[in-house]
Amino acid sequence: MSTLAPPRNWTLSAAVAFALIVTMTVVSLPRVAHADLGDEPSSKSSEPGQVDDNDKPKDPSLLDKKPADAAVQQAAVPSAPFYENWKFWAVAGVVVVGAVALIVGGIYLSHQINGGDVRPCAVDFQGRCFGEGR
Amino acid sequence: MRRLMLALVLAAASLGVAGCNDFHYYDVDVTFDTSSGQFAGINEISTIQVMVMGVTGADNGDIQIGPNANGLPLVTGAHLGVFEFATFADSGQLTFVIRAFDDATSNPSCQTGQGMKTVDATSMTTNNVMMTVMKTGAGCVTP
Repeated sequence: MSTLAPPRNWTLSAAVAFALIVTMTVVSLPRVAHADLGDEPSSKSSEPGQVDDNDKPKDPSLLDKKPADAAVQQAAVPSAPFYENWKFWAVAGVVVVGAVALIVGGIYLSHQINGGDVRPCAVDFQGRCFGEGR
Repeated sequence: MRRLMLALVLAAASLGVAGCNDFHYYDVDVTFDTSSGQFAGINEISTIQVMVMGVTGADNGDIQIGPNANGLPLVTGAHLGVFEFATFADSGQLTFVIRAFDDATSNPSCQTGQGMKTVDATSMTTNNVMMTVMKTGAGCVTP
């Protein structure tokens, strides 16, 4: 008489356990190998993975110049002198005319504040006019 | 826009201030007194060669007329005419004094007449003042 368990039950459990181990190994082995060796992942992902190299994008469109870059480059180009701009002379003209008007107006206002012009001496008075402003 | 409004306000204020410093004119009409005991008509009045008018009080000023200018010597009548005094004063009193000399200078010993009038300074533009020159001395000319 043998003391061993019946071989049919042991063989079935071992087979199930062996199949599970093999399956887990097959599923997990490529990811482990990729992490260790730096290979490309086999599946595409929407999120950047840990191994993405942003410094050297493979998409050529990322290397094209952006509009902002063009504006900066255009601004860096030396422009014409300010005195060749008509806007400068327009503003300068307005400032000069305004200053002259302010001075003339100030003189006129000051004169008016001080009484303005004294009225002329009447002819009948024969020059007998005197006092303030005369 | 705000600066323009400020300028307009200042200009209006300045014009308002200008109203406080207007000219006022005092037209002093001078006539010689030819009544009894005063100037003996045109014969004596025509000897006056220089007249000096002075103003004191709220304002000061003076003017000398003649000789042979400004209506002197007077050849007809006893009405010399108007002296016009311009001032900014519009309050207080103004005293007008006029002296007549029968000499080409304003030598006090040759003064022959004087008139004086005190009036209130007003805010009116033109103030008319009547003044009479009274005989005060024989002067330097013997008629």
